Amino acid sequence: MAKTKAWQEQEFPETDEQPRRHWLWQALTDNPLLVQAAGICPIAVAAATIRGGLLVAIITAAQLLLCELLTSLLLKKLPGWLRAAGYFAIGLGVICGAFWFSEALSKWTGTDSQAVRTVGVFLPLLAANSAVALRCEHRARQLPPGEALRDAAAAAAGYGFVAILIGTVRELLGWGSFWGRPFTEVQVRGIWMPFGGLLLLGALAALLKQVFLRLEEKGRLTGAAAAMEFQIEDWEVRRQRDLDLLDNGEAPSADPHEGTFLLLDNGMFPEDPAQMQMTQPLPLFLKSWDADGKPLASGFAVPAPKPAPQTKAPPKKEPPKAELPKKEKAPSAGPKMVRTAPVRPEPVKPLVSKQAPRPETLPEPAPAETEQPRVTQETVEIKISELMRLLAEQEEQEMNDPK
Amino acid sequence: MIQNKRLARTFLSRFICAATAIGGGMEVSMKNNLLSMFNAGLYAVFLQNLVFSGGFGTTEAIRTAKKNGRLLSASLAISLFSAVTTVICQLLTTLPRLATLPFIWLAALYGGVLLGLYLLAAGLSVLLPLPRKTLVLRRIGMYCLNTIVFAVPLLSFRLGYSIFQGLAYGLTAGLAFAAATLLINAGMATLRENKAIPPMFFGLPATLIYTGLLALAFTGFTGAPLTF
Amino acid sequence: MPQLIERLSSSEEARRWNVTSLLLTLPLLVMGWYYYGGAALRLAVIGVLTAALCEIIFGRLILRTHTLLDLNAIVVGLWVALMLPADLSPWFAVLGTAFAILVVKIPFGGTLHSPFVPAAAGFAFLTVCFPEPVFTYAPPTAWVPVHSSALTALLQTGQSIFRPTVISSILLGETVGPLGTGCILAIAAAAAAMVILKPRRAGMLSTLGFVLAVAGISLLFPRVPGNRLGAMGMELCAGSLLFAAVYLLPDPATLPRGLLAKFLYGLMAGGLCMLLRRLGSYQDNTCFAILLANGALPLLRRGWNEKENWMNPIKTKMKTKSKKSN
Repeated sequence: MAKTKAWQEQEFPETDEQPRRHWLWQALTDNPLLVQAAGICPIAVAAATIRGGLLVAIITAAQLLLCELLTSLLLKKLPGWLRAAGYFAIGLGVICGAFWFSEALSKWTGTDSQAVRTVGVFLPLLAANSAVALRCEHRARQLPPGEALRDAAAAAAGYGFVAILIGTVRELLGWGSFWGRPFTEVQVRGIWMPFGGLLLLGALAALLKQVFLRLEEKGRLTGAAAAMEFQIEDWEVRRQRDLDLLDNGEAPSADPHEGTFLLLDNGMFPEDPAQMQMTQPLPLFLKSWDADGKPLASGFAVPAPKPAPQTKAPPKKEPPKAELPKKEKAPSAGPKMVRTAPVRPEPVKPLVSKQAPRPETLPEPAPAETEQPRVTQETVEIKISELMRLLAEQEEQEMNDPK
Repeated sequence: MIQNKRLARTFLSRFICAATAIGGGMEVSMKNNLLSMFNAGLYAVFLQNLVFSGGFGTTEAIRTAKKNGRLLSASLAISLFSAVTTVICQLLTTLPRLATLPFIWLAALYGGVLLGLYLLAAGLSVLLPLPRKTLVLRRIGMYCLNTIVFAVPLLSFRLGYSIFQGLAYGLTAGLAFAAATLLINAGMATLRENKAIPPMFFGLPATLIYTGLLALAFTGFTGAPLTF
Repeated sequence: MPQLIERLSSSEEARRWNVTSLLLTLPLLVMGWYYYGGAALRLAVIGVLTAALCEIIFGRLILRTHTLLDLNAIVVGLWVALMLPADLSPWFAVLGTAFAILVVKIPFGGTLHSPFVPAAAGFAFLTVCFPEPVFTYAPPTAWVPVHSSALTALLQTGQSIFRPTVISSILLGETVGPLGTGCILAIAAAAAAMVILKPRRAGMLSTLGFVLAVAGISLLFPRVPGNRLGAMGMELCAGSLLFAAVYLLPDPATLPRGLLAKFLYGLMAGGLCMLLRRLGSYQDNTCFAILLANGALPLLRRGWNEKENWMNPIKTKMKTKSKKSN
């Protein structure tokens, strides 16, 4: 559940219920580099000196402020693929503007624009800085303009701080200089190579995580360290973990960002999920439990059979119509209908597949103290249509939220 | 009639000689081109891997490594866009006016070409009845407008590659990305199993250090970073 | 997910492994001292002390345990020092050993948990940072070497010195080269001892694969023209190749499980080593080859685990159907 909270804090903006943190604090807890692992290339490639780090910081700050503001005002109304083009175009504009400004400034002052020339070859790549795009997609779209600017300032401060720090360390150790002036004779060549930048980033990330862990021990922070876990989103591992939880009688994880699981209320589908037929070719793993959180059944839905030719199809017996179960709000915790993203865009596999072993013994259904609604084909079909509607909503949401 | 026959024979013999010369010349130049393309590809994947030796596309590699099942689409997109952008940019650079532009404006032009290609591809994806259209549109931005795709035409220009070399360089950029992502993904799986990793390193810090050590290993090929 | 890398199950096992490694490394140190004098000992001692200090301080801070007693830090420090030139400034040994312990070992959990061989990574780091000093070898003090250049440099320039009259000198280590990796006889004796010792025996399969790959490729594609056997001998005896094959490659934290897997892993590392020697810019790329093999192993392991799925998809589908019908 700590991880769920961390995800929620990461993915959704703060509400009035949560304490409002200072934007500089957010620069640490929501650092684009050290927490979200975004925008690594400019740091590894360009931030090899203090000047380079400063230039990266300034340009990225300009990009973030401009992109987040425009996203909050205008770009969020566009589809996701067009927004990505917008970020890139704005980035190119900022780069060209920075170069033009630098050239103009150097002409005006009569000095040579060394910093731009040093980093200039990597300058164009800043237009494709993933930190800007990810930040805009995950934050600015859901925030009003003022909050978006605040978030951009936090991200820019966090990114810039890391860029300048890494540039400083790399120039000191790698070139033995400080701001271009010789400082020491020691020159560790590997530090200014890309692998040196990655190692330094890893060390900084570890230091930051240690700070978060200490603060969490004291109770002054929650979920920040868990947000840096950065694990593989392995569909099979998540499925197996949830199956294990079900086997142990526990409710599966309620993280809405995990897996392809579709969690349903009691009575939404029969004991054997194999009887639940989906008309859309999606691999859905269905689970249900009763109001007390006791698992009832789980398994993969199977694809709907192809409609048999009319001449050959035998007349089907119409099952007796059953009353739809009343939806009662479960008093205990547990998601009623949690939509999750189907991660694997593969054709539907049969119910029992090698990768998806069914639990050998499905849990027994709850004793029939209350009248159990009889699940009929019509019931199933009605619930399938509701599922389809929810799936379509989820897809639309994901289309607007490329991650 | 005899004179016509002689003329015809002369013409035919000259035609055959010319065709043989051109064909032979083409064969030699085709061999050279293929060899240079192979060299460019080898450079992109192994000798100076774009991700490890250059640092390009590191974020995309790490984030794609985190999500199983996206590698093929990402690599194909990167290959396709890198190759096409590089070829178009190389062709544009043959124009005398554009070849003399300062590097930053040339880079802006290359960026414009990439943007145009992306908009064309995305627009076609919207209009055409593609399978899994929503997935394509959701991911196309990340895999087409990133540092590795943008770096390939710039690197090709700086390294003085020909069109064929640039094409090979672009096509193998996806392969380099795939190799890097697979290695990082396998490493992340190994790190996940390792329960001895201290809490302060578990997760992103260990992943970054692991990626850095992989980059160190690839440095053994040329001993120099990929710069331009 | 099953454990497919053999990890030593207890700290006592780890300690025994490290003690064995240390004892089998000492003869190399003795030979290095014999050839290069006190400078060799000084470098080794500084490397060991640095490793111990880093282990004590950062092991306590980060791992929250005492890990010095398993002697792994001592072994790593010694191995890094043995691959360096004898007259190199001690700061290089400090830097290389500190990198090995602080960056490669401790962040991944300490002794025998690192996905990369720490000593190989430490030497690779020094190679990248200081390529000239690391490959500028001092002439020995006790005797006249076979050639004034190292075997690795001769191979790069295509010169052969492998004649029957110099084989014994080369095997005894009377060549210009690293501090402690030149005495081939000592390394071979250590390999023989590891074959005799039961816990180390399986690891020697990887060494065998490595040596076979290097020998085969050097026979087929010799860098030294005219003398294939001589080229093979030079490749095997040059630099830290045999030392890395015997001591670094069979690291239990990175070695795969299964006899065939170990052999194939060694083959792969040997192939990468020869590829790097051809294409790489450094004189000795053995440590980079080991790092590449370490990085590639999890990928190959995953492919091997899932081979049933991608090698025989029809069989997999039929199994699925039969399970479903049952």
